[in-house]
Amino acid sequence: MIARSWFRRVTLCTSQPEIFQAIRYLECDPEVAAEPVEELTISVEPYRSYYRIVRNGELMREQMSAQGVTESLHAELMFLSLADFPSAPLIHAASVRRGGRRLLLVGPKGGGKTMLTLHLIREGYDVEGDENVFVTPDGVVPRPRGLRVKESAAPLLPHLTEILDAAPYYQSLPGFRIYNLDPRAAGASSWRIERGRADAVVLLRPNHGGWSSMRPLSSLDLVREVMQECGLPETGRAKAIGAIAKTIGNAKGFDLSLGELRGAVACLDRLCQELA
Amino acid sequence: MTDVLVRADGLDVNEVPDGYVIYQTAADRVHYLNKIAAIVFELCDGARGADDIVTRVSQMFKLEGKADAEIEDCIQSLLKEGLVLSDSK
Repeated sequence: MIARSWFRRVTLCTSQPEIFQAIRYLECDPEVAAEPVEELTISVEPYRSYYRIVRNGELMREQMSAQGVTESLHAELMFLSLADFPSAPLIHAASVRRGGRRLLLVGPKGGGKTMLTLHLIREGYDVEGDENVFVTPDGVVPRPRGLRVKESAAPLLPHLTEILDAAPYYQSLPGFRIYNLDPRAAGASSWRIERGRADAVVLLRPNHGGWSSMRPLSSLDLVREVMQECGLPETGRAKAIGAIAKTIGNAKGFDLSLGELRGAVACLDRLCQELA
Repeated sequence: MTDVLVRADGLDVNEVPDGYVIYQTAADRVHYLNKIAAIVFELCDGARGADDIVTRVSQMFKLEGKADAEIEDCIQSLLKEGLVLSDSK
């Protein structure tokens, strides 16, 4: 199976069915518009009473359980992604496209990015990612990763019940599964990730149980809010902040009070019409 | 000798449509200046004192002295945050 960072294509292999099932949680194979791409192979094999994780022939780590293997590989894939863009800030944002325009949906974990993204897929939007976007001077780069759907959200997605039942998942606590969902399995016609400009940046403010509404947000206020949802590199912060200011300064900014999803989708549809 | 206001060193100034986003390297802080504050900041060029800047901004926006206190507050904030410094000329 394949997992990705922007510049690395990682083949994950194992002879162990238990490990295969566990690390499918990390499977991610979109079409990525990146050149050049480095090929890596990470294998997981039993050795005595534990598992050895070997990267391109070199021992990387040893783990006692399938869950430990998944967690190690999850961390490794994140490190590979961060190494792709060491000086770029990383913001919590989903990235969706319609009519050649890209919208970033910025919000904290649990802020509704994935749920909204899944509904946008049903409405014909292309999705690039639901969680992280690097901000570089040459444009934004959604981090390749499958959509993460919490078990608690499944009852709100009846059209995906069978798909989620078959989807790989990670479970740290009983009753708290997180599914890994390929956007194509969720109904997207394709899954392509590109580097490019953000045409609009939409700040999501959860309004659970309420109506959805959207209003323009000034660039200055939007930069201030996005900085709250941003990880900055240890060095080169001035450039990183400059990249965020430039990206937001060149985009339209909005504040979306995210309540019922049909209304939220209507707000974004209208925005896309304005951008077209 | 007169006191003039001058922008501090070590600032990374980024313009957005409605103001400035300024990163202050030494303090590792980000400041958000609205349009008026950005203009005040620009006028702190080492050639003018606070009174002159208040007068110019007031004239620029045809405020006729009605917002002098607010403009002075803005200058004091920029001084307090270390974005501008007072210098003797």
